[in-house]
Amino acid sequence: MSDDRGRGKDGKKTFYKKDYLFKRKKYCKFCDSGVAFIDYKETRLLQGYIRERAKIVPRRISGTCAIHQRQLTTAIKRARHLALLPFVQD
Amino acid sequence: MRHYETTVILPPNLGEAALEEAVTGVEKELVERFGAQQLATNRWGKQNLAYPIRKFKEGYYVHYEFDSEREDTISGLEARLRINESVIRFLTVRRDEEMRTAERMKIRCAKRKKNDNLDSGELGSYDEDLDLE
Repeated sequence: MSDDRGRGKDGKKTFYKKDYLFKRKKYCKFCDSGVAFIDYKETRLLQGYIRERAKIVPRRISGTCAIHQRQLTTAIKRARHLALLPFVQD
Repeated sequence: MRHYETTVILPPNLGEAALEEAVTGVEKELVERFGAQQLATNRWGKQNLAYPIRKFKEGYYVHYEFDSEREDTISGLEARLRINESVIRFLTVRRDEEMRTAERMKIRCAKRKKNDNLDSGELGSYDEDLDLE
């Protein structure tokens, strides 16, 4: 009966979480492309790391490494001061 | 010798003459009063502000890059900018240290890439280059 595993009473396949949840490995995009320094002037780049409400995307979501995340944070904060990026978006 | 970057936002409603005066005024002060060297001015022009500052929705951005040896350059410049009515926002960043970190980062990234390409299961020798900052 080993081939009945993963099947419900009616023989249809029951979906377990692990069946369809494919986890892609996160990696630091900055390390990958060899970014040595994140500049506050590159607003386009920074825009990808703020959320809808203009919050900074956390490391656990974006996969950025600690050193780059630190650079990113200061860059975003500098850009905010110069009104290149918003503090809040409503 | 330290390397700095200063960005200044000017109001959008300045006349052409007043704008010119404001931009060159900062240049002049930097060079003559505060001993800045190798000054490079870059006008980004009129841009939308991400949020209103002093009820302005746009600003005229000017970016200065310069070297200086003197200690009072930035304190003096910022004091002057604060007084200046036609400056709505400014930011000074010291770049020489950041450039140095960037150099080390480059090495670190290259090393990591090499380790990844080797695809060896060995525990990486990442620890050596953690002397950043």
